[in-house]
Amino acid sequence: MLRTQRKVADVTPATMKKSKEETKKQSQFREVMKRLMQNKLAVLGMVIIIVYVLVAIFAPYIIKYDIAELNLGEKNQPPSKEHWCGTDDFGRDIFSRLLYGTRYSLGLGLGAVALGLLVGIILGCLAGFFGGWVEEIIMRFCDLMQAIPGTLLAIVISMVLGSGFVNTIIALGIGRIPMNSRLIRAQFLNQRQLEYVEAARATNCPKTKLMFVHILPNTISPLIVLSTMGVGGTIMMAAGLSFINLGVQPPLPEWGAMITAARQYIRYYPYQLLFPGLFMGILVLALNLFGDGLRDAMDPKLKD
Amino acid sequence: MKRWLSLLLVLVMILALASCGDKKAGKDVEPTDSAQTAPKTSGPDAGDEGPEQQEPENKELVVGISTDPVSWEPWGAFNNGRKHLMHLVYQTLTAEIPDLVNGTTIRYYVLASGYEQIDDRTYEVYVREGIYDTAGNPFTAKDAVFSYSTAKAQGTLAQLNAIESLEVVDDYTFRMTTSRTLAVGDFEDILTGFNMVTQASYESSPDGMVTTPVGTTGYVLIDYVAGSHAVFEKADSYWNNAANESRSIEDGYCSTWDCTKLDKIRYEIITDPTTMTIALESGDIDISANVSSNDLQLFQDGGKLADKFDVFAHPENMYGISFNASKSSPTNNYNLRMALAHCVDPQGVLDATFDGSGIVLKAWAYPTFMDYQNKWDDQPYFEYDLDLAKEYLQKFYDETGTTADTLKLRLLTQSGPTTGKIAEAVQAYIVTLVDNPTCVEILSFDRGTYNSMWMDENAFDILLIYGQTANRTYCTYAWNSYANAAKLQHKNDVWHSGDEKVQELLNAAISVKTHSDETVSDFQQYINDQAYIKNLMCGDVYVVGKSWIGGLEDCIGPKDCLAIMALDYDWSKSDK
Amino acid sequence: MAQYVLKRILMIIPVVFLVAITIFTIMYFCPGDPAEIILGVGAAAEDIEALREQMGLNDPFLVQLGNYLYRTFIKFDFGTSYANSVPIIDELSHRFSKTFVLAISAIIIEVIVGIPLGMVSATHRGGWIDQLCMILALIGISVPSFWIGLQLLLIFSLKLSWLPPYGVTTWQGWILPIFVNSLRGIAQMARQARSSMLEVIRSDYVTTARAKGLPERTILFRYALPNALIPLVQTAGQSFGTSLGGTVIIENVFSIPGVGQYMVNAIVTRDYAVIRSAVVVLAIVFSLVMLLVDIAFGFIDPRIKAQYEGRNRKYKWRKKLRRVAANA
Repeated sequence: MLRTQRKVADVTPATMKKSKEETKKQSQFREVMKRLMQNKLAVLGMVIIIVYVLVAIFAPYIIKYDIAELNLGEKNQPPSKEHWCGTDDFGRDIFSRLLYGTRYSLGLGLGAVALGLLVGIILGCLAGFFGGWVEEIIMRFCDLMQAIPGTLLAIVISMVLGSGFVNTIIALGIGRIPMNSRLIRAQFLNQRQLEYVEAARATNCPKTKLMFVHILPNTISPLIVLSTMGVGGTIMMAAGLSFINLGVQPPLPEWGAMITAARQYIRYYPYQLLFPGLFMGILVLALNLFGDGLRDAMDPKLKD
Repeated sequence: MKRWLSLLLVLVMILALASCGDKKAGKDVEPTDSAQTAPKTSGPDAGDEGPEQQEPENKELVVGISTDPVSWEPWGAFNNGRKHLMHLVYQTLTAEIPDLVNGTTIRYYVLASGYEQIDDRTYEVYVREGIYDTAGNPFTAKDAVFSYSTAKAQGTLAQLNAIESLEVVDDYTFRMTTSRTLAVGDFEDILTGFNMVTQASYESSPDGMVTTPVGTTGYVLIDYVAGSHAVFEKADSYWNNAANESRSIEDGYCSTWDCTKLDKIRYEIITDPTTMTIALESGDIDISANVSSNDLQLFQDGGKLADKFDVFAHPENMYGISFNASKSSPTNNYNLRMALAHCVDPQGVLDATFDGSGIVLKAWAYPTFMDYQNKWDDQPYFEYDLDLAKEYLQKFYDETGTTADTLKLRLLTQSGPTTGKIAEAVQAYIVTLVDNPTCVEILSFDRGTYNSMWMDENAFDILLIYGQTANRTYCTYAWNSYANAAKLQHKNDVWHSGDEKVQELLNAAISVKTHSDETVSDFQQYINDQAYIKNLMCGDVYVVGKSWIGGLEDCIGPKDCLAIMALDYDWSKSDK
Repeated sequence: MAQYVLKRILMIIPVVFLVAITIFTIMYFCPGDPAEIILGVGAAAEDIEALREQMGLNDPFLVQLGNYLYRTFIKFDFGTSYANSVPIIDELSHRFSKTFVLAISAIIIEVIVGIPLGMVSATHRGGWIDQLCMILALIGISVPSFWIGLQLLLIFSLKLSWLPPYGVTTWQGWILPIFVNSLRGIAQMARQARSSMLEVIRSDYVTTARAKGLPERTILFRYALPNALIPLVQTAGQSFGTSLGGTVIIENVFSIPGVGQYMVNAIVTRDYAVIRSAVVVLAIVFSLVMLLVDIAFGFIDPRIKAQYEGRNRKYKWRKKLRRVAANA
């Protein structure tokens, strides 16, 4: 079989691949977005998430009441016109605290997932690219972390670091690292054999550039869906941590901490439990809807 | 073939994992078949008899407690479950019970009949005659010496480290020599704080009485399922039935160990407070000392179940705010300390965290302490005065150049629902004073970390100090624990003051020779003058029992236990 | 296959060993002095020092690590908790059965309830059953378990008095905790089963079977179902890990004396001995269950089984030789 000689001069495989990839990516992205928009539930999820994010950003400006001031005269009041979600046992307005708490809960979810992604991707790239003993060490390390069930790992790390916002992010994020790195590594193993990698190597492409600029973008898509759903799961795990007095502590108005503090009132003032649970549930629901939609949009086999 | 082999391996693994045994104690008596216990109270059949039956044949009480004791050994570490259960099996040489009605503490001589201090460091203790435990072994002075020696050898009990030697003088007398002169109340602590066992019973127990306790009370542990329940039954005989009949305190009567009223006691371990209340309502338990204050509205006057239950409120822990007076903290400045002390309203904190139930304190002490000075109740004590606080604050600003925006304080507290809320309330008051919502940061840690942190002068500015249990006996106990620089690990007091006058006045107050109203007042006066600490309040906790249980005002026994034997039972009204 | 199983079991040992070392090291650097915690506030400095000596806390790190590993793995002595003299191994073995029952029954229920739910949704795709099931599933993964637990407790224990409010001494006491612990897993499993089934239904062999004119029922149960089950085994395994962690909360709400409660109490009192031991034991259990999952994979999917078996070259050669000899 004859091989057509190609002029290497100005059309290098790297640039060719890049432009092809660019257009491929662009149209792929457009395609995904188009399919996503057609899925009404996913759009609903996305809208809800955007609303939450906006609330988180603008919270200090839109809340009516002070979230920390004691107002004992008005404590434990049921929902009314002045206090849409009622007041808690210190007389603080629950609705304002919920809005402000979006910062913490979303922050925890996004922060932990981002941490897990960052470290997981780097480890996965290193493992998948270099192979050999680097891969062995990283994979054993992942085995080690995965030998301890996720919630337990978060509890132990929380114990070491102490409670608090940043510490909880770290505790929750660390548990996500092994899963992400395994995924990236598996994808790398697949991609490693493809031609464009060989071509890039042939043109003396530096290793880091090859890893992060060329191969990585092709491996990310399964991670995107996983991470979107992961934000929801992380928020729930953070609530669980607050339940056992780790994680974010009062008086910070994180939803999990609010639910825990209201637990003793479940029979008398159930609304104090209901609204944080509802807020959290709606956000997690929206994240799951969006994640579902994203997965359907990215995987044409599932759509009919 | 191989496929079946691997299947077999899998099945074996599953079986092995699932068959980890159940631990049961009290192996001597046949264990209650726990699988047959129905959710309703297991009442005896005697209750079916006609209305003439005044007392059921089997007088059984079911109590709810919130923590599993885990171990029944006589000298294990404190835990909330052991607090309520140890007195069922063991007795101590003496017991101190707060008399909340009269505001004092009464000392009872239980196993001991008296003691005498021979010299600075030697004490002679007299043991009663005729004591024997539920296994029939007699208890004499040599058993008391054995108990203390064995407990001391564990190394985990701080108070016993002061004992240098123990000597049996005769069958009913022994002598204790300490390695250093003890502070006021320390020797009494040694007598009241350690359970007594006979050497014969202890040595015949295979595991140091962890699962098979034998003590000198009138009850025996017959069934224990860890984390679930513990059942006690009346022993065949009790060594001091004479006192139970005569009710004479000289003879050693103490209502905490009055075994004439109950035949069988069952303790149910219920960890969740909401579930505890549900169990009370449904009749599964008859009485509980761990009822959450939120559920009181059901049981108190006007509540749905007020006619079926009685409620008794009693103090538990004292809470106060203590300042870091070292150079590394802004609270080094006297004016700032005064400002902070005057800006927190103890009644407000009490309202916020205990629904107003409890008392506001006027000194670093609780009114039932034996050396509490009544004059403290009449003196002003850092009165809540926001304007005065603002004046002090302004002086602080003028002296140091700090402003409302640059003032940053760290409030250190132990994590937990109650302490967390108190910290939040204190934070809110300080924020109102300074008018800057971010000026106070709450640092909340578990007990271990909290204890190491307050010894570090760089770690906090305001300390939420607590836990000096209201049923202690002397003010000096708390003072000695927190302000004795010579004794503490970081060689300074809790205020990191390096103030020698504190040490001097403290030594005068805690020494047995010089402990007097005067020395006690002097110490309290000095720390007030320096505004080192403001004790806030003591919140109530509640005992809720069915209305046929009477005498609830006597329900608090030694070491804050629920003394069920001290209560009165009107069995005719019960549903047993 | 048996060889693979044995090899995997043997591999668990070094992993657990490493877990123990890691946990010990982490706890070592944790703040808080066990001797101080035991002796309490205001204890004299010399007493604390004496107890530290007695507990071996002043030895260098490697010596302590060595002692710990020796005691745990060679003598199987997990030591006693800092708070009392009860051997940890006794406590753990007593409590472990409860936690294990809770976690395993959650898996069983998830499989029994979740998979059929998912299958039904998939086969009636777009219909009202599908919508309903998926909405319920979405809610199931979005709501905190302890909230549902407490609400159900109120309804079934207090208002209706059908079930006991605490403890698991009777079989009725198990109903609520198991149900609440498995809710999230059921929802997850239903969703996963649905998407797996949908994927299988669209595959070539199902189309072929339809083309052959086989009845729908046969296609469903003989062709689609077994293949759809494969990824679900993985989900079940992961779910076990989540429910093992989730038991911490459930045990708290329903007053069940399991390992989760034990650990939480130990965390509050900084009882490192207990925490270390509990984590090591849970890691062992988790690894064993993961192994079971992989074995189940092998049984269900012959391709994976071949993969397991194919790892042993010698075996493959011997089989080939035998075949050649048989044909000769």
